[in-house]
Amino acid sequence: MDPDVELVNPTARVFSYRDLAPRVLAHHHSQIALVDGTLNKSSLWGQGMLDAAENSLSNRAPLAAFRRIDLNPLDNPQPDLWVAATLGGSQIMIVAAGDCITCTTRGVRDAVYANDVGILAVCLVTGAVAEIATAVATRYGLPDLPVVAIRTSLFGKSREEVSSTAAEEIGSLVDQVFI
Amino acid sequence: MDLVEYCFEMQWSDGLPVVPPTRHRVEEMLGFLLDSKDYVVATMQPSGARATRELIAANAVMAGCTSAYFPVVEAAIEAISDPGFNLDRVATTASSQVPIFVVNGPLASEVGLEGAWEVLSGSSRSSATIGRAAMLCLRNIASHTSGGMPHSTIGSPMSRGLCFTENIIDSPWGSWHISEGFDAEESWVSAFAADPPVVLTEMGDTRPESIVETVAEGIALAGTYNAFFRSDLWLILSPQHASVFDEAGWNRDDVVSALVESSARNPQDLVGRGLYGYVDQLRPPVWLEQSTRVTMVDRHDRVKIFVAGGQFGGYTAVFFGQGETITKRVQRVQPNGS
Repeated sequence: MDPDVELVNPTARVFSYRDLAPRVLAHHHSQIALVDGTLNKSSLWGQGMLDAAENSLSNRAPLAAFRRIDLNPLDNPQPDLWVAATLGGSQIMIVAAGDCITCTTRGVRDAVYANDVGILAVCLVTGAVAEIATAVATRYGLPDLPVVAIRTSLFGKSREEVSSTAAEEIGSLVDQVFI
Repeated sequence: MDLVEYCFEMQWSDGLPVVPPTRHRVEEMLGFLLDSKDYVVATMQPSGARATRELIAANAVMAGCTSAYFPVVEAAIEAISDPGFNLDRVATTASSQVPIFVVNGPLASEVGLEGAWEVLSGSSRSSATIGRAAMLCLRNIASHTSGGMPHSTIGSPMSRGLCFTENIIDSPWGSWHISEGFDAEESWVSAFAADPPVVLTEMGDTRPESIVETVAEGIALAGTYNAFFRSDLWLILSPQHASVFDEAGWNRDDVVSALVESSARNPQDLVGRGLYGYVDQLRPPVWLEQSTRVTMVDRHDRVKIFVAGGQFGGYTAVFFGQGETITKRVQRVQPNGS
């Protein structure tokens, strides 16, 4: 092609396609890690989102065991370190990223890593950042990463209010992780 | 289709027209480095993508750079990709910080960077395009999404780049880089994730103490990220302000010490304000409770003082921000491409 017309693509290439980790049998003794990856711990928004997730999942999988994990996004914990150290034995990871794009992009990154080691991961975000979460997952080669969007905004809401809002919209979560 | 319009359609632009990165132009940009076009200059977060020389050159072409600027652009990319810069957070923050750059050394004048009048206006080609090239790399290489990733609630008027040099001729103290011990024979790029500047004036009283008092009032704001993270702070002193200090026998360190002390606040002024009360559980502010006075930086060397701007006018620009300043040497390109 004419070098005066041919354009060099200035964008980075996307990662190669990844397969989604398999869903889990609902009646098994599955271990589910509930990860609070939100920045604003004082508000307990992440815990509220995870409360709704735990309620929803435990109704469908009464034998499942749940474990809460707190991440400090300010320290940017790398998934190859913290996933291996804390998620051993887990089949499912639910990461609450909330309203924050830093938390969302890191949550998706961590979910992709967990997916790579066979842990089915789901991101809980708000509607304001859901599109970004899916775009980031697509960029990592995992466009099918389950992303559950909670109604925006969380600002000023208590843990209970966030949980209540999330409960209304989290129904799809169960079908995305259990067979 | 018109190539400029095609670049818009592909979402490669920052909103302004770009120079289409044709193969011919990219090869000209690389020049002697063409054989090493696949060399990975840096891995850029948050995408984790590898910024090759060719990719950086394509973005430099789009920004309007000449090949003479390319080594500076490359060093700028190295700086913001350094783990210490924390580009992962800068590129996703809801706040308004973006990378800005100061260049010193022989190359700064060779490429025509501004250091005097209109220093922050980006009126010269190099001042306007070097920072823009870096920001286009951030958009097209580091971002997770094509067309950049909207993340900042308010955004920044510096999102199309800011790159400047110091006014060495009118500065009483020489360049900041030399004062920090960097080799004067080399050229250096320093990067910082900065908020848009606040420009403060003090011309009513020309004693150094008055300038310190006025600038310190501007620094001691509870609502900045600096008040919580206590990270780096960049100041641009106009030559007139710098001369007031110099004539009174003050050097850069004296000014920093005075500003740090004068901008310290009572801890009770900060509790529950700004980021305090929002992310306290992640960084329990024990030091806050134990302090009688809180300085806006945790170490004096967090404050970087540059002298730039026109010959007269009593102004100081304050750049709040987050993280630390990262400095990289500009590698001159030899004809053999090394």
